[in-house]
Amino acid sequence: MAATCVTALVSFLWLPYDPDAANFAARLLPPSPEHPLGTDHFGRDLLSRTMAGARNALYVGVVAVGIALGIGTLLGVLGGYAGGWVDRCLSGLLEALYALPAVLLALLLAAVWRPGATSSMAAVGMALVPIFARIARAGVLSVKHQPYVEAARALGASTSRLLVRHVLPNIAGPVIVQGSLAMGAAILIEASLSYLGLGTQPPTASWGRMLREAQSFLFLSLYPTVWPGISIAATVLGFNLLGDGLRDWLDPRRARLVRE
Amino acid sequence: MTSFFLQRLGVAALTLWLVTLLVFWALLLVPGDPAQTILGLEASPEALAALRHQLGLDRPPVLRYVEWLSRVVRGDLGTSIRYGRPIGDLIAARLGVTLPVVFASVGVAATLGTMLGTIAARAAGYRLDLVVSTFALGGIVLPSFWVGLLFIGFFSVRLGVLPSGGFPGWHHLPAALAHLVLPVLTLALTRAALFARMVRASLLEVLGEDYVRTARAKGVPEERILVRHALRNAAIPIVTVLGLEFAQLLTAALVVESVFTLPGLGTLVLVGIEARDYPLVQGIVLVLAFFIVVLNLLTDVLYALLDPRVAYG
Repeated sequence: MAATCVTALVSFLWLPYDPDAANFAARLLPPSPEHPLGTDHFGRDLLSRTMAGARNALYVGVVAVGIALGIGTLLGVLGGYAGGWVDRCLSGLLEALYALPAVLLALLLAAVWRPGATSSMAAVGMALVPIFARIARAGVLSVKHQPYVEAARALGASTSRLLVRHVLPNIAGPVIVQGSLAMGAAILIEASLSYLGLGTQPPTASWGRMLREAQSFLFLSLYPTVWPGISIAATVLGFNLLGDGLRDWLDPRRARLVRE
Repeated sequence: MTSFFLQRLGVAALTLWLVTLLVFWALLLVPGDPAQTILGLEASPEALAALRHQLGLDRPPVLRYVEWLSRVVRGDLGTSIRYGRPIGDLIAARLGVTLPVVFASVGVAATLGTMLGTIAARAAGYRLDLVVSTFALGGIVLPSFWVGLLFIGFFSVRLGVLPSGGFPGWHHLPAALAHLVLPVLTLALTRAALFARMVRASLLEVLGEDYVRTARAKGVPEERILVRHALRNAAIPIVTVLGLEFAQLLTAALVVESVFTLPGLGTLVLVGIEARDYPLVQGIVLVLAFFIVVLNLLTDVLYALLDPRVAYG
């Protein structure tokens, strides 16, 4: 994961070659000193494209998770704090959304708008909303009646101040952990969507798209297929491990359990 | 029991209704004139007017929704713009490929996952456990379509033993099955990994229970303990995630179908999107959501039957 972030950062500053520049003299080459990972069917440098893909994956992941985290937490806090019929309506709505997997939402949005990075990010973001809402709601319910919240309310703190200053900081931990896990999921889903042609559009390098293009040349060279897949797996693994690590770090009780 | 069942049924019906709202509302999001967007700029005014009427754009949205919903409830999903045929028929034909793949994959994944999970749980802490657990991690982080591509690379390109894609139709049964081996394997392996993880965790918990210790003390053979006492109880938490698993597998199948160019729902929906055949996409999303909701409902009921402790409230 760290490697992906570093790669993405480096890709802003320096790439061995232009990731979109075609060189038909050097098509489908195996790895060599000039092209450490080989080249694809347009003679584009695979190292450059894989690096540019890292940038794209992180961008898509951050936007999708940002949408989910923002809306999800807001709805969860709202439902959990307000309770009553507001809570019941929101819960019902979120349960319905939960029944629609990200790919289905993406299909709908791709049919309505043009297929592209925007529609796929929006779909993945929407699909992840219920997960954050559920966690935020559970957090609010457990914090709502804590003495320090009641005390702040008794002192005349306004509802918004109460939520922002006292409730949110105390539910942030699980939400952040989920954010890391969701990044992995979002990157995986976006790669599938790009593979289907519903995500990032060419010529922008994205791992899913690279795999789709590589498939036609599977009979000629395996390298264009290998690198993007490994990159996806490594990144998703990284965010999952980060999520687990964060959870242990944020929850001292659990960390002790793990060590025992 | 009956009240529990009715309550779950109510939740499922509500969910489905909300899904129809969402699917319908998405059409209202089409920028500009949906008929123009679907048919393109060169469409004749007559064709535009006809499509507008077919989509009901000449009537208010609420009225349209009610009409559309009443037709959907009766099983009429409308007519495809791209194919000019009833959408229900198109979907039914494609389900003949998608559903066998999905069910075969669930079967293989559950069997393989249970076996691997049991092996890992019995070897907990040893190297064998580590191997299985690593494999299980692979199921989470590896994109299924990439696994499919590697399979094509290995089995079709390198060994040349299995077809890389396409589907000859069910009347050529041996050939049809050969074309389904790799897709099913692709889907099943990634899912089996998740299954193995859950079976392992669940078994480890159950194997630490008092009744297992009692059975061991009575001298019951280890295999019998595993099958009669442990696996049976370990199954309960696994059943709860079956519904979700199925939803995941259904959407993964859409992608894997596309890898192996199988004529299933996945490829149909992509054609629909390409052709901006909105009613077709709408119909497919609805049918898939319907399957998912019904399977979640069945899971809830199965869970209650398996575990008498579930509160029927």
